Amino acid sequence: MRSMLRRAGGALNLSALATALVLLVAWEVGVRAAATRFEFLPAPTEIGQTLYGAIRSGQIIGDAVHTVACALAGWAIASMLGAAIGFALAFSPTVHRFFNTSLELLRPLPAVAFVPVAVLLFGFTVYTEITVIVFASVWPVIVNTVAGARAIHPRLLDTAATLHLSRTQRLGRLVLPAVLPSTIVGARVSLGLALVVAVIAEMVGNPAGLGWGLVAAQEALQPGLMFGYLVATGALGVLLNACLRLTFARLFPGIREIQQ
Amino acid sequence: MMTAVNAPAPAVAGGKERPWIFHAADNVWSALQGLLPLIALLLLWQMLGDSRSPYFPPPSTWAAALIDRTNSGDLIPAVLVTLQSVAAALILATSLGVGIGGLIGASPALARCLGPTLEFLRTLPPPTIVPVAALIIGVNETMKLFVIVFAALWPVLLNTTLGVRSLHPTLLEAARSLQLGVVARMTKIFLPALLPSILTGVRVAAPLAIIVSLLAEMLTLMPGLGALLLMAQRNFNAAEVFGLLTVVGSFGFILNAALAAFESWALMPQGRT
Repeated sequence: MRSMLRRAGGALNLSALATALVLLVAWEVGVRAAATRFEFLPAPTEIGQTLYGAIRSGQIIGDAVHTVACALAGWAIASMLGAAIGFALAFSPTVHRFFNTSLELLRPLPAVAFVPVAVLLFGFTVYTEITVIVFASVWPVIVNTVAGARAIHPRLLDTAATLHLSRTQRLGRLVLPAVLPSTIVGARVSLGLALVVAVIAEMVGNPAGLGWGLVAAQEALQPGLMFGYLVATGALGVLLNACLRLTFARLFPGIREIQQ
Repeated sequence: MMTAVNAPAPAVAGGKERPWIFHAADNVWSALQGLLPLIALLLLWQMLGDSRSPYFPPPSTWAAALIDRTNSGDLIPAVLVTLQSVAAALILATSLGVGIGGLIGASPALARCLGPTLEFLRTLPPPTIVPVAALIIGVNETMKLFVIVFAALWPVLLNTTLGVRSLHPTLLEAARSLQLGVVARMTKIFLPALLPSILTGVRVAAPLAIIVSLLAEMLTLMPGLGALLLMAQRNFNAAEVFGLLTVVGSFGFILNAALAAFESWALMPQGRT
């Protein structure tokens, strides 16, 4: 299995690398050949040099740490909050009856539109950023938790009743193990979202981190640095996703959805 | 009592069918019940809130601020501009996504070559492309369209690719044995078979398109809902910010409902609604 994966990976990497390389070379040659027309489109080598410089000076590293820390903090809060809300919605008919529609109305609210409200309440601070991240990334956890609870087979609940399990026992032995996998799948989706929203919030709300670095480089008319931030943000996304996949696969080996 | 909400309801004794009007009334009633906490919150806010509060102005001031904006002729053009950008970008992204996704799904070699490059572009948070495009393309409608298309492209592309890969071989054989031409093959076989995947992609892409459109307007202050929101925030006009938030919320809600309606209409002939 593993060797098969590796072989597939090797074959994939070769032609894909060649394509990426060709594209980059075409970009480089194109920019150098038409140096006067693309004032703000730097060549890949220039981007690489600027990125290297910004990494060595610690600027991009510091910004990346800020963005990842905020995304993780917001994500942790959103996961717990989302799991709690999801459980309440799934297991209390009263909560479901009275809160479901209200939540459905709030869900499609775009996260960006929420930034000005958060700025009014918290100013241009890290609280604004984390509030917006929580607001945006709580939904996948709620939706997945509710879906997981709906998928509990009625027979399981019947079994619990037959065995005269107490409420606590039922929760610990049956409901949690049955629902948590879906909650975790939701949490995995929302971590990717948290990173994106962190960047958005930094662009218009909290002047710090990668998002702000990107906007600042644009406003200072430094295309090399701006593309450096772009590459760093993309690489961070890929890296975070890979780390997440490994961590979750190790922590929860039973959940198939998060290992793909 | 701890039971999942969807647990089968106990059968009603007697089992007599109730007229549909009661069901409709039930639905309306349950929707109203679901809205109760929101309505209660807004009412409490209205009654207890101070209309001069710089942070939590009550809902009546939101409405007043929105009416002001409408009278000064800002609000409706802004909504229309944003709607126009989002709609145009969605149409463009759908045609591009279906084209590229179809090619990639049909050709494994192309998928192998382009896959990782596209994968990197896809994981790039779409908002990051806004400052880059503003610098290279300049602050204009083309740039806005470009960034929205860039964000909305991937869900459609990915879903189309997956749809093409999961086409049943019988369909391809049927096309061959009927000796259909290219056009007939596209319109009679591939498009209908791919339509559900494509429309799912569009549904995912629509909220993204709204987000990126608003962000582009906020960052560049190009006319639109995003710019109005940001200006209201910069003027510390909390009532207007909350009012515009409800406008943006309804905008997203209505666009999603419209797409859902379109989806069920388009899929009706296939009986997949």
